Amino acid sequence: MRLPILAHTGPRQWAAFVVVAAVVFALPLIFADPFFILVLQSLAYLFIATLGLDILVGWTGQISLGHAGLYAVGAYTSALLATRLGLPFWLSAPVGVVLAGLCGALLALPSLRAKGPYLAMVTVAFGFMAEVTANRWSLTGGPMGIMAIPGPRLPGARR
Amino acid sequence: MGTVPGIKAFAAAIFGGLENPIGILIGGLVIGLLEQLFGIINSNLKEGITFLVILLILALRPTGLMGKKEIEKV
Repeated sequence: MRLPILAHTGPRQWAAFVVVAAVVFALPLIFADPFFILVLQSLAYLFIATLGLDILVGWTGQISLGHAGLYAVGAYTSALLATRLGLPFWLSAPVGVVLAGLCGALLALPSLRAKGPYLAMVTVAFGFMAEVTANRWSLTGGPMGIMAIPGPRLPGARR
Repeated sequence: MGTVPGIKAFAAAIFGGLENPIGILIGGLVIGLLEQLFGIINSNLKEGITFLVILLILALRPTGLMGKKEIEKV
Protein backbone atom coordinates (compact mmCIF):
# COMPACT_ATOMS: atom_id res chain seq x y z
CA MET A 1 0.00 0.00 0.00
CA ARG A 2 1.25 3.47 -0.84
CA LEU A 3 0.86 6.05 1.85
CA PRO A 4 -1.41 8.94 0.83
CA ILE A 5 1.27 11.50 1.44
CA LEU A 6 3.55 9.59 -0.92
CA ALA A 7 0.88 9.10 -3.61
CA HIS A 8 1.92 12.05 -5.77
CA THR A 9 5.56 12.30 -4.88
CA GLY A 10 7.99 12.57 -7.72
CA PRO A 11 11.76 13.17 -7.59
CA ARG A 12 11.22 16.91 -7.00
CA GLN A 13 9.09 16.30 -3.89
CA TRP A 14 11.61 13.78 -2.56
CA ALA A 15 14.36 16.36 -3.09
CA ALA A 16 12.26 18.91 -1.17
CA PHE A 17 11.80 16.40 1.72
CA VAL A 18 15.54 15.77 1.85
CA VAL A 19 16.32 19.51 1.81
CA VAL A 20 13.81 20.26 4.59
CA ALA A 21 15.10 17.35 6.70
CA ALA A 22 18.69 18.53 6.19
CA VAL A 23 17.75 22.10 7.19
CA VAL A 24 15.90 20.91 10.33
CA PHE A 25 18.90 18.74 11.21
CA ALA A 26 21.55 21.38 10.49
CA LEU A 27 19.97 24.56 11.91
CA PRO A 28 20.40 23.65 15.63
CA LEU A 29 24.10 23.05 14.92
CA ILE A 30 24.43 26.54 13.44
CA PHE A 31 22.15 28.45 15.85
CA ALA A 32 22.64 26.80 19.24
CA ASP A 33 19.93 28.92 20.88
CA PRO A 34 17.68 26.85 23.21
CA PHE A 35 14.52 28.73 22.21
CA PHE A 36 15.25 28.30 18.52
CA ILE A 37 15.86 24.59 19.03
CA LEU A 38 12.53 24.35 20.91
CA VAL A 39 10.70 25.96 17.99
CA LEU A 40 12.33 23.59 15.50
CA GLN A 41 11.49 20.61 17.72
CA SER A 42 7.85 21.69 17.89
CA LEU A 43 7.84 21.95 14.10
CA ALA A 44 9.14 18.39 13.76
CA TYR A 45 6.71 16.99 16.38
CA LEU A 46 3.71 18.76 14.89
CA PHE A 47 4.68 17.44 11.46
CA ILE A 48 4.31 13.88 12.81
CA ALA A 49 0.87 14.71 14.23
CA THR A 50 -0.18 16.40 10.98
CA LEU A 51 0.94 13.36 8.98
CA GLY A 52 -1.64 11.28 10.86
CA LEU A 53 -4.30 13.93 10.30
CA ASP A 54 -3.43 14.01 6.60
CA ILE A 55 -4.08 10.28 6.24
CA LEU A 56 -7.44 10.58 8.04
CA VAL A 57 -8.85 13.84 6.67
CA GLY A 58 -7.10 14.07 3.32
CA TRP A 59 -7.34 10.44 2.30
CA THR A 60 -10.62 9.18 3.80
CA GLY A 61 -12.47 12.52 4.16
CA GLN A 62 -13.47 11.87 7.78
CA ILE A 63 -13.39 14.84 10.11
CA SER A 64 -11.36 14.56 13.28
CA LEU A 65 -11.46 17.41 15.80
CA GLY A 66 -9.86 15.42 18.62
CA HIS A 67 -6.67 14.46 16.88
CA ALA A 68 -4.54 16.20 19.49
CA GLY A 69 -5.90 13.66 22.00
CA LEU A 70 -4.07 10.84 20.22
CA TYR A 71 -0.94 12.99 19.99
CA ALA A 72 -1.23 13.51 23.77
CA VAL A 73 -1.63 9.78 24.48
CA GLY A 74 1.53 8.91 22.56
CA ALA A 75 3.55 11.78 23.98
CA TYR A 76 2.47 11.25 27.60
CA THR A 77 3.07 7.47 27.38
CA SER A 78 6.56 7.93 26.04
CA ALA A 79 7.38 10.70 28.56
CA LEU A 80 6.00 8.76 31.56
CA LEU A 81 7.84 5.57 30.63
CA ALA A 82 11.07 7.53 30.27
CA THR A 83 10.76 9.50 33.53
CA ARG A 84 9.01 7.02 35.88
CA LEU A 85 10.44 3.70 34.68
CA GLY A 86 13.66 5.00 33.18
CA LEU A 87 13.16 3.28 29.85
CA PRO A 88 15.42 4.45 27.02
CA PHE A 89 13.90 6.59 24.26
CA TRP A 90 14.22 3.80 21.69
CA LEU A 91 11.88 1.65 23.80
CA SER A 92 9.50 4.28 25.24
CA ALA A 93 8.75 5.96 21.90
CA PRO A 94 7.55 2.75 20.12
CA VAL A 95 5.41 1.88 23.17
CA GLY A 96 3.87 5.36 22.93
CA VAL A 97 3.15 4.80 19.24
CA VAL A 98 1.50 1.42 19.97
CA LEU A 99 -0.66 2.83 22.79
CA ALA A 100 -1.75 5.81 20.67
CA GLY A 101 -2.64 3.36 17.91
CA LEU A 102 -4.68 1.23 20.33
CA CYS A 103 -6.54 4.34 21.55
CA GLY A 104 -7.21 5.27 17.93
CA ALA A 105 -8.58 1.78 17.25
CA LEU A 106 -10.80 2.07 20.33
CA LEU A 107 -12.01 5.49 19.19
CA ALA A 108 -12.73 4.02 15.76
CA LEU A 109 -15.48 1.78 17.21
CA PRO A 110 -17.97 4.63 17.91
CA SER A 111 -16.63 6.61 14.92
CA LEU A 112 -17.41 3.85 12.43
CA ARG A 113 -21.20 4.20 12.70
CA ALA A 114 -21.52 7.91 13.45
CA LYS A 115 -21.43 10.46 10.67
CA GLY A 116 -21.62 14.22 10.14
CA PRO A 117 -22.08 16.20 13.38
CA TYR A 118 -22.27 12.96 15.38
CA LEU A 119 -18.81 11.97 14.18
CA ALA A 120 -17.60 15.47 15.08
CA MET A 121 -19.01 14.95 18.58
CA VAL A 122 -17.22 11.60 19.00
CA THR A 123 -13.87 13.14 18.11
CA VAL A 124 -14.45 16.33 20.14
CA ALA A 125 -15.46 14.21 23.15
CA PHE A 126 -12.25 12.19 22.90
CA GLY A 127 -10.09 15.29 22.51
CA PHE A 128 -11.80 16.99 25.43
CA MET A 129 -11.46 13.87 27.59
CA ALA A 130 -7.75 13.65 26.83
CA GLU A 131 -7.28 17.35 27.67
CA VAL A 132 -9.25 17.19 30.94
CA THR A 133 -7.53 13.96 32.01
CA ALA A 134 -4.07 15.33 31.31
CA ASN A 135 -4.88 18.51 33.24
CA ARG A 136 -6.44 16.86 36.29
CA TRP A 137 -4.58 13.57 36.78
CA SER A 138 -1.67 13.72 39.21
CA LEU A 139 0.25 11.11 37.16
CA THR A 140 0.46 13.42 34.13
CA GLY A 141 1.60 16.37 36.23
CA GLY A 142 -1.46 18.56 35.62
CA PRO A 143 -1.02 21.80 33.67
CA MET A 144 2.70 21.79 34.53
CA GLY A 145 3.29 18.73 32.40
CA ILE A 146 6.29 16.42 32.73
CA MET A 147 9.72 17.96 33.17
CA ALA A 148 13.23 16.64 32.54
CA ILE A 149 12.46 13.95 29.99
CA PRO A 150 15.73 12.24 29.06
CA GLY A 151 16.65 12.65 25.42
CA PRO A 152 17.50 9.84 23.01
CA ARG A 153 20.99 8.39 23.27
CA LEU A 154 22.95 6.83 20.48
CA PRO A 155 25.63 4.27 21.32
CA GLY A 156 29.02 5.96 21.19
CA ALA A 157 27.61 9.51 20.97
CA ARG A 158 28.92 12.00 23.50
CA ARG A 159 26.51 14.09 25.52
CA MET B 1 -13.93 32.31 26.12
CA GLY B 2 -16.95 30.05 26.28
CA THR B 3 -15.38 27.08 24.51
CA VAL B 4 -16.18 24.56 27.21
CA PRO B 5 -19.86 25.61 27.63
CA GLY B 6 -20.12 25.54 23.83
CA ILE B 7 -18.79 21.99 23.65
CA LYS B 8 -21.17 20.95 26.44
CA ALA B 9 -24.14 22.49 24.62
CA PHE B 10 -23.13 20.65 21.44
CA ALA B 11 -22.81 17.48 23.49
CA ALA B 12 -26.33 17.97 24.89
CA ALA B 13 -27.72 18.44 21.38
CA ILE B 14 -25.97 15.32 20.09
CA PHE B 15 -26.94 13.32 23.18
CA GLY B 16 -30.68 13.81 22.57
CA GLY B 17 -30.52 13.64 18.80
CA LEU B 18 -30.20 16.70 16.58
CA GLU B 19 -33.63 16.54 14.91
CA ASN B 20 -35.53 16.29 18.18
CA PRO B 21 -35.97 19.47 20.31
CA ILE B 22 -37.46 17.56 23.25
CA GLY B 23 -34.52 15.15 23.08
CA ILE B 24 -32.10 18.09 23.23
CA LEU B 25 -33.92 19.44 26.31
CA ILE B 26 -33.64 16.05 28.02
CA GLY B 27 -30.05 15.69 26.85
CA GLY B 28 -29.07 18.98 28.48
CA LEU B 29 -30.78 17.97 31.72
CA VAL B 30 -29.13 14.53 31.76
CA ILE B 31 -25.67 15.89 31.02
CA GLY B 32 -25.94 18.57 33.70
CA LEU B 33 -27.14 16.05 36.29
CA LEU B 34 -24.48 13.46 35.33
CA GLU B 35 -21.74 16.04 35.68
CA GLN B 36 -22.86 17.12 39.13
CA LEU B 37 -23.41 13.51 40.29
CA PHE B 38 -19.87 12.54 39.27
CA GLY B 39 -18.73 15.78 40.90
CA ILE B 40 -20.00 14.47 44.25
CA ILE B 41 -17.73 11.42 43.98
CA ASN B 42 -14.63 13.27 42.78
CA SER B 43 -14.61 16.74 41.24
CA ASN B 44 -11.65 15.79 39.03
CA LEU B 45 -13.73 13.12 37.31
CA LYS B 46 -16.84 15.05 36.42
CA GLU B 47 -16.15 16.40 32.93
CA GLY B 48 -14.10 13.46 31.70
CA ILE B 49 -16.66 10.84 32.71
CA THR B 50 -19.54 12.87 31.23
CA PHE B 51 -17.85 12.82 27.85
CA LEU B 52 -17.04 9.12 28.26
CA VAL B 53 -20.78 8.48 28.75
CA ILE B 54 -21.50 10.43 25.54
CA LEU B 55 -18.90 8.35 23.68
CA LEU B 56 -20.51 5.12 24.93
CA ILE B 57 -24.00 6.30 23.96
CA LEU B 58 -22.82 7.28 20.48
CA ALA B 59 -21.19 3.86 20.15
CA LEU B 60 -24.56 2.21 20.86
CA ARG B 61 -26.88 4.74 19.17
CA PRO B 62 -25.01 6.62 16.41
CA THR B 63 -27.78 9.25 16.05
CA GLY B 64 -28.20 10.04 19.73
CA LEU B 65 -30.73 8.71 22.22
CA MET B 66 -33.83 10.07 20.48
CA GLY B 67 -32.54 10.81 17.01
CA LYS B 68 -34.14 9.49 13.86
CA LYS B 69 -33.09 5.97 13.09
CA GLU B 70 -31.66 5.94 9.63
CA ILE B 71 -31.88 2.79 7.62
CA GLU B 72 -28.37 1.99 6.59
CA LYS B 73 -28.06 1.35 2.89
CA VAL B 74 -25.01 -0.70 2.18
